[in-house]
Amino acid sequence: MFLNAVVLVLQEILEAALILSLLLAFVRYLNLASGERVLSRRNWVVTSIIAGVFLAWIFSNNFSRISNSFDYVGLEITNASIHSASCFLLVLFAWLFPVKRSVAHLNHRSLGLIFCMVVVVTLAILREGSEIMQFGGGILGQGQAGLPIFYGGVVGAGIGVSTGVLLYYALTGLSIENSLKACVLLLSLTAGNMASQAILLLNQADWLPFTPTAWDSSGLLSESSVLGQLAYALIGYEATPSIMQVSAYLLGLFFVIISPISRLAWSTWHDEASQI
Amino acid sequence: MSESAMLSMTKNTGPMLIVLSLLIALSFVTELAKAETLEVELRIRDHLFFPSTLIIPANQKVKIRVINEDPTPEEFESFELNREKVIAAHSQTVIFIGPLEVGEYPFFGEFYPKTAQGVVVAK
Repeated sequence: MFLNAVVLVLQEILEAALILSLLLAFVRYLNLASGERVLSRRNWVVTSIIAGVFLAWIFSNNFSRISNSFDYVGLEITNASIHSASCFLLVLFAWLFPVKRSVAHLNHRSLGLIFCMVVVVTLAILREGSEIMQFGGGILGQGQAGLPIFYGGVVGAGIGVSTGVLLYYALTGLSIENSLKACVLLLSLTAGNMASQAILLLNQADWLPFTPTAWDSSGLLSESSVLGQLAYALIGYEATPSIMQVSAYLLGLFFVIISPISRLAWSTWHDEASQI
Repeated sequence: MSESAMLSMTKNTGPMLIVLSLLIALSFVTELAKAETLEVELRIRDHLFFPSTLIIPANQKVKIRVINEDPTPEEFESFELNREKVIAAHSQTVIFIGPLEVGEYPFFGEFYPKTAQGVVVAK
């Protein structure tokens, strides 16, 4: 049960930790590029973690009611809504991200950016946290010796958070131009991932029609392997996605790629930098 | 002012009608599909799946009714089927799969993967 708890908690924590790291790397870029601590307040991180855990707790307490709604596909509908909202907010974040240096412009945008970040992180913790609570609550409720599971959870959470920290330092260790490129790329892949997950959930609920599998790369990279799991958490890798999922993924990707910050990242950066 | 409003109305009614008729068509199709969906039952007892081999027809959508008799929640998960869903203790839920090509699709209970193992066989 120990290893089982490690893997389960790790999987759940990883996704939220990676999104948080990515957003923090964006904040660092903004502060560096503008020469000011535009988003210096770390409060938004604490706010989103508290809100996320609280919402996950409410979700867990109403789990059966949510699950039984919509003719037993309430979970899929709820999660698909959460994924869609996250996708939309990540795209909005990309479009709001300041590309001009003027202080008024930065201040004007900072509230919107913080809103996007708080809601995205809150939703990620809600999504992943409620599953951990289901798992943990079920075992504790049964009165089993819960200690190995608790330790397993702690170890899993530790590895998950460490991976997030590692990603943050990987992103911020690059030169400022490459850091922005990597952040924008990862943001677009995350938005695509959210869109694709929403489609998958609606397929599972039978709210969207079946579409054939686009490809099968399970021979190349199995979803159950460690690397496959990491790729799943980071960029939503699936070995056998449906055509509709791939289309949604590309659409999410597209909306971030055409945003001003993405154009800035891939333009001749040095010329533009003087205008930031 | 009113002229432009009229203009925008006539401009918008075309696409709106198309969307509306598509939605109506889609709802008919889904209703039709629902009526034909085959339902199979999968029970969870003592962290085991019954039956552990679920034989279903290939190339057809199937509704799996998962009934969890255990006092603990379980998560139905399958990489091959691209499915993942938590089922609360002492409750039931529904998971749609397919249409599947002929083949075997393993699934497991993520909360108790050592014992909760099964396979969907599409024939």
